[in-house]
Amino acid sequence: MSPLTIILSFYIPLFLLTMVYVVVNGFHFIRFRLPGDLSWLFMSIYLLAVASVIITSISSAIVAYTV
Amino acid sequence: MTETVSTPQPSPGFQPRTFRPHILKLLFPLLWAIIMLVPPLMISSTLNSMGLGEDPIIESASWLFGGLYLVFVISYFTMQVIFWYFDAWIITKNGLIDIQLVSLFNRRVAQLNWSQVQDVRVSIQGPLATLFYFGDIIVQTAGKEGVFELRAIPNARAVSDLIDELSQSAQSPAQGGIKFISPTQRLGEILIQQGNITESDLEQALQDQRISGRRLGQILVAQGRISREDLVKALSNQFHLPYIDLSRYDIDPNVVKLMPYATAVKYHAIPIHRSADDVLNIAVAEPEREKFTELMGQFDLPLTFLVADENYIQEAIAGYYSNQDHSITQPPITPPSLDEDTTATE
Repeated sequence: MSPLTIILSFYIPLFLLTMVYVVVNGFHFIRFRLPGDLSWLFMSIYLLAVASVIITSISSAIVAYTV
Repeated sequence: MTETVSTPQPSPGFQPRTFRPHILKLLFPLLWAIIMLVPPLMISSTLNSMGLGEDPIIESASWLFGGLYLVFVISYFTMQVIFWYFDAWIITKNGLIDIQLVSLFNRRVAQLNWSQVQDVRVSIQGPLATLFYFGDIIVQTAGKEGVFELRAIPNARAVSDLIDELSQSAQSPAQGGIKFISPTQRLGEILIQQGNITESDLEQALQDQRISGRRLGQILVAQGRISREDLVKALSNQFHLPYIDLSRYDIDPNVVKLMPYATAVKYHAIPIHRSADDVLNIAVAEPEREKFTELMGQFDLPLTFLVADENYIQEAIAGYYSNQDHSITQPPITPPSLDEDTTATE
């Protein structure tokens, strides 16, 4: 079993669990928003931050592994 | 997921205002999130100092798991933001809506009408609250919810004054002499409308009433068709008076002294609160115009009336007057009985 396989076997379940957390947070923003509040803004910032971190970390990991 | 949403219709001319806890309530979650970032940074630093940071496997693993951990920390802080942001209190002209995110997937929404407000207190505690001028507002109510607490509200004293003003204006028709609104509906009709009984239940109860002469409400309670709470709510509805759950209300013993024991027993009534502008709130079990007029004649203070459960009133009279001198005693209070003729008639 290669080191990469071991890393991914841990990473993928943890990634899915973290995504569940993200979805739960997003659900609360959508479900419990009040008329005229800033829920959409908060959710956009949150999802943008999460997406940036994930994309950066995965792409950096690929670069580190291949270069 | 549990949720009970009720939205009062705001009256024209008053813009509903939403209040949330002060943003400084997020300070500790933010600090905690920052502290959570320290261990991975220390691990990374240790790996680098050991010369392992250059290893492509360790480096890529660091990126992957470090990124995931950062997403977790961001999500943790966002969850705190959610709990902060979705704790909201909306002030409308008719009342206060209290929205609380109790836990994930569980929001509680409660509503308070201004006429039910008994007391408003402000509590500003701690250096942060004092420095940035936010505090807790505690609204004591006559409703089933008991106490509404608005936590960490910016400019708490001004908000408290606003609540006070709105509740005073809601209760003002009763100040300086009550304006009694005569019932426009019969008790039975209200109970049917509320879905407590059916028409056949009512007919049967009316038949019993003709035979026994007892009051309709008590007959229905005795038959188990409605609860005592249903009866109190229906009477409150019928006489356009707020109702109060005395089992949850802390009566001021000094206010009780304002009414002689004999009067309390005679009218099945007990004073429960004296407002800042000297209006005396009296809980009664049997709302009747004659009773109100007679009670008003015995007090120098303006009175407001609330409907309460007969049993709780009896218990309160027994409890609060037990230590007081009532040498001119009336007949002792008998335990409340459903067979007694105690409730307003249809």
